[in-house]
Amino acid sequence: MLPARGPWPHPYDDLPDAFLEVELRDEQDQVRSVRVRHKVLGSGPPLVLVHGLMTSSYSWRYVLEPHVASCSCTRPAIRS
Amino acid sequence: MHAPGYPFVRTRALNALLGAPLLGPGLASLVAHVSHRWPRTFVARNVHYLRKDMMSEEEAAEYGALFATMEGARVFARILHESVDPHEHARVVAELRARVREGTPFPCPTKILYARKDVMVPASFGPLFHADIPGSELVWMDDASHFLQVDAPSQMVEQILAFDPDEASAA
Repeated sequence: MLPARGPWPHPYDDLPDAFLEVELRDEQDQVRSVRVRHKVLGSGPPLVLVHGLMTSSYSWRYVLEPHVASCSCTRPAIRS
Repeated sequence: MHAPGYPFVRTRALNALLGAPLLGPGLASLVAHVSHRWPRTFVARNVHYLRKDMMSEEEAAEYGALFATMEGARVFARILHESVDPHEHARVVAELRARVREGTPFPCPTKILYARKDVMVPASFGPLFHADIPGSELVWMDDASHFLQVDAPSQMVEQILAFDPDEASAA
């Protein structure tokens, strides 16, 4: 049985989603459009936090608030 | 940085299994079906932290959403196969080493944060990346496994904020 939440508080669910339409060419050289979900917050020099396979931008939940004081954080959730 | 990076026995074996003529498609289909049928359990078993109490229902639900449809589960199985392709890893390493031979600098100042206790990727890859990216800085995260930012968030923030690209590129 897992605990309901992790050991530390985080603001992930309070942050609204934003969406970006990204165009790319696939293996057949067809142009495709992918909708990327991400979250943006803060101001200042941009800092892009990218997640890995099988996770989402949620994996950056614990480092978000300390960075907000210094940077504009963009966290793409690639799975979308 | 926690990409597999260099071809090694575990990724080679997984790639060979997933690429085997008859076995591969069956195994990929099994991964897709299991992850779709039991998404939270699949996530809880496959996301590894140093501390065993880090995984929560909230997290299992968040990552498990990927497997809500069979299409999502199948895409995951396909990307998993691609992500352990030793030829692709070797190509990236060869490109890095060609840059070193030709004296072409890496395109951006680089700081490598590497987990000492990663259970998925050997820690020995840290020094290899460091050597293959001249001018990079290697910092060991001693008490972190595969997900550094969850195992050691304070150290992660400290290291990112301390990174000065101008200073690093001048080094």
